[in-house]
Amino acid sequence: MKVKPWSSHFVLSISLLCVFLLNPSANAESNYERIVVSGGSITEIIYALGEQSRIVGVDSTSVFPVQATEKAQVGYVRNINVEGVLSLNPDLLLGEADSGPDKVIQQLKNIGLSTHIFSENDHFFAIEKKISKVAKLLNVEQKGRDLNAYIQTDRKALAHILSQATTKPNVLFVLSLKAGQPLVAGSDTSAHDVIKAAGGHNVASAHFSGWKPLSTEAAIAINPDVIITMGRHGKSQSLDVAKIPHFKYSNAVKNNKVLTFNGSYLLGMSPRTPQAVTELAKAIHSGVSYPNNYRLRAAQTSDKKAL
Amino acid sequence: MLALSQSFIPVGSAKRMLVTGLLVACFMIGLISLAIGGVDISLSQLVDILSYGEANSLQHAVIWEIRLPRLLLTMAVGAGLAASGAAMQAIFRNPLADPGLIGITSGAALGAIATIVLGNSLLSTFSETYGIYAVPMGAFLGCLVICALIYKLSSQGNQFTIISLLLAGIAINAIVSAFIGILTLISSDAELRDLTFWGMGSLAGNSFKMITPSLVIISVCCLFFFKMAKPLNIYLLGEQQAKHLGVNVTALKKQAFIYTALCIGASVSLTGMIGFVGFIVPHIMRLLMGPDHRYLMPASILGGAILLSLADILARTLILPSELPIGLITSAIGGPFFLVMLLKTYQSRGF
Amino acid sequence: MLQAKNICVKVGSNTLLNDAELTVECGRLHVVIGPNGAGKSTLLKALCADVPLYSGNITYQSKCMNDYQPTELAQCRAVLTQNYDCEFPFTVQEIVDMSHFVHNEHVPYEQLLSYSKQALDTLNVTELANKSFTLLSGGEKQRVQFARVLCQLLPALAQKKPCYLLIDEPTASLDLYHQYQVMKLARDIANQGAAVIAVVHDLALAASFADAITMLEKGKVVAMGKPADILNRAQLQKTYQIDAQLSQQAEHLPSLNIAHTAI
Repeated sequence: MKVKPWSSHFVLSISLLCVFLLNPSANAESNYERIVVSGGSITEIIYALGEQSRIVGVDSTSVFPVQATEKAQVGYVRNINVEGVLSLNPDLLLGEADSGPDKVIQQLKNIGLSTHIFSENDHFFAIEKKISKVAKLLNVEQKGRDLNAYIQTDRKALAHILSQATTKPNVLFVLSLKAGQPLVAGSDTSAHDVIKAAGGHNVASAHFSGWKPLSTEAAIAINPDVIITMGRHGKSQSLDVAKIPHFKYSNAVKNNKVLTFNGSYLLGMSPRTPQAVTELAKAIHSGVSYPNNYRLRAAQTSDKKAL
Repeated sequence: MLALSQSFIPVGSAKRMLVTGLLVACFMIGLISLAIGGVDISLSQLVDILSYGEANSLQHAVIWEIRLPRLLLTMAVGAGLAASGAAMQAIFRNPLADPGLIGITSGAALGAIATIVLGNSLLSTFSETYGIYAVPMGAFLGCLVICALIYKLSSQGNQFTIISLLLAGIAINAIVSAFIGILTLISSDAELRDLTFWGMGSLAGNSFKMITPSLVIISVCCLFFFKMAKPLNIYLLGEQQAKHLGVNVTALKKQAFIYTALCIGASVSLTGMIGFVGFIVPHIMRLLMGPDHRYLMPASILGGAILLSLADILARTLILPSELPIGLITSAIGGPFFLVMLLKTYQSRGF
Repeated sequence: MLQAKNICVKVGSNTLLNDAELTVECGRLHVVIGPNGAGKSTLLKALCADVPLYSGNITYQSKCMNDYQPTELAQCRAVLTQNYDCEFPFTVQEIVDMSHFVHNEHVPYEQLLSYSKQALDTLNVTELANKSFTLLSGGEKQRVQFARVLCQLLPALAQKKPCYLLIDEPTASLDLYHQYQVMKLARDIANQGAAVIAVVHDLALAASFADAITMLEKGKVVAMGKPADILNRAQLQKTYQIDAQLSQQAEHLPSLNIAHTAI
């Protein structure tokens, strides 16, 4: 009896399919399932892509979403622990540019662990690139594109606000008030980039670069229109800021333009940062409004449920 | 000043037994140290790997590339710090002396911090040429430069007295602290973090290539310290008495200083600041077996290696997968232990 | 022979010794006396380079002291200082054995050990051998140090080589018995061939054992010669401002008689 040709094809296909299904490694030779992350923004991206189950260890700066803090800890981003990382049996190390120390990263590479450390140019306008890169490494490129499209809304909202803005307010970013003199952001800082992106002028940038303490007289001379402080999001810190002689007499305090933002929300260069900058732009410019149907969707702190 | 009237173990044969015991303990702790860590490796696996394991397994890499260099560095640094401490305590004729007193460690700190903070500006060529070796080299050079300065200052009139050494050291310490303060002020956020971590001490991340120069320097210095045992004993009688007995006292002090500088430089350059070992270990060993350096020196060398290895095991395993700074552990171990020894000695004297 | 000429020692603007002079042959015990501040200890320290000379020349065996290697000199010269600041718990045996340091190359180890034993026996401290130095009384400490110093010279004495013993106030903490014992020992060492220079406070002791005496006053040598010649009434009145006289009874060592009116 002649065998029907379509049935042999069918059997062949089924068998091939079985072989294929039973041998998944043949398809996904670069599917990383045990990832150690060094750098809060990368952890956030992986959570936003929905791939958090593949993370086995994080560094101490991975604070958002709050579930991330329950993962195994491998140390501070600039000082991760080599055997700690290895004890988690990872197949990939992803790190922000300042992951370190260099000799530990080198040791991990020598042992044969795949590592990808993102480059120095990790700034506000490169967030989408970072997301694409992570998505590509994790083999979820479509999800990456979806996430980038999602945050386009925030980018457009920011552009909308900037088009309405008529002035360029003088903004000062204060990191902390506790240790004696207030620590403020000069040029070459993430805060400087964020202020600029929000359409403001970083008044401290003309004087120094990096994070530096500000003396009383210099602060009075600077007289910012807006002060941004780091702290619990939304909670007004203007009472503390109003007390110290540096800012007591400033425009910002007089006009009640002292804003409090959560650090990792505004400066983390994560998927939430475009929204954060949009929120900042709305706050520092007067007479501007969000586009229709735009609302803040991402959580500003780690207390609420993640995106 | 802590003047002890009697050592715990006065008899020579008992002292020799103790030194042998320390040697055995050293080996055992070395083996244990290799077997413990974040990655699970059983003792039988360890023996295999040390003799002829397959070159491609993760365990083999962990032992040969991570734990073994770290163990050798830890033991060498512990030995070097303790031997230098013993030499300084002899030269100052004071069991409370420490190489930090005369500014040696601050020189290394200055070199390291200068490299960290100025590595992108003034010292950028240095930093780029040496890459990951830049900070250790900076620390070593800093230590040597500062020590040369102290040496020069104390050698005025070829005297090299203890007072001049102390005064030069205190002055240098103050000046170096000021420089470190300035560097800290101008440092960026990242550099500030880095120099803070350096200050807390760490034994991590060093390959065989990195540790070999330090191992060689420390070994040679420890050998010289051991050779100095008899003259150091006589020096403890008194400076004039030692001179009359034929010891070249000025040369002895200079040698002790130079070997201490080299030892501390070679250690601190790779590990950052690890305190207490140089002070506690020789002090405890002296309480146990008396001031005779023919036993005290080898006992300090072995004791230092053991103490730092124990501290490192704790640092690596207490809060896995994170790691504690080694300096915290040495203080936490050394301090209370020293207190117990002190109390016991005062009790035996009837206080 | 030890020869010191034109010795001047200055500290700042103070002159401690002015043109002092001393010559001691091997086999003789030479004592240096004088009131407080006369410069006795300074002279001894000058002889062993513990203080720098402003001017002057010191020779051992006609060789200038500065031309000697430290070990060379230590093989034939031992110094017993007045103070010891050793607060480390070495045993008595360990301290005496420290004198072996310069002899290690030339003298076999067993020989050195027997010298240590001999020194301990001579100073009557053998039973203290395993005791910690810091637990001893003042007098015992001084005798142990003397034992160490004696042990340093025993090899030279045994080989009949010229050697020198410098002692600074060896009787300060000793009881009456041990004072005379120690000075007799110094005398014996001199008889064995060493040149011994001792700084002593007690005039009677000096008179009992010295071959010759140098008397210092305010940094200058005011008298030099035999005890009986030097320690006369006129000199004692002049230098010590005391009316006293040396007297010697049969079968007794010399003693000092001090007049009632002197006090």
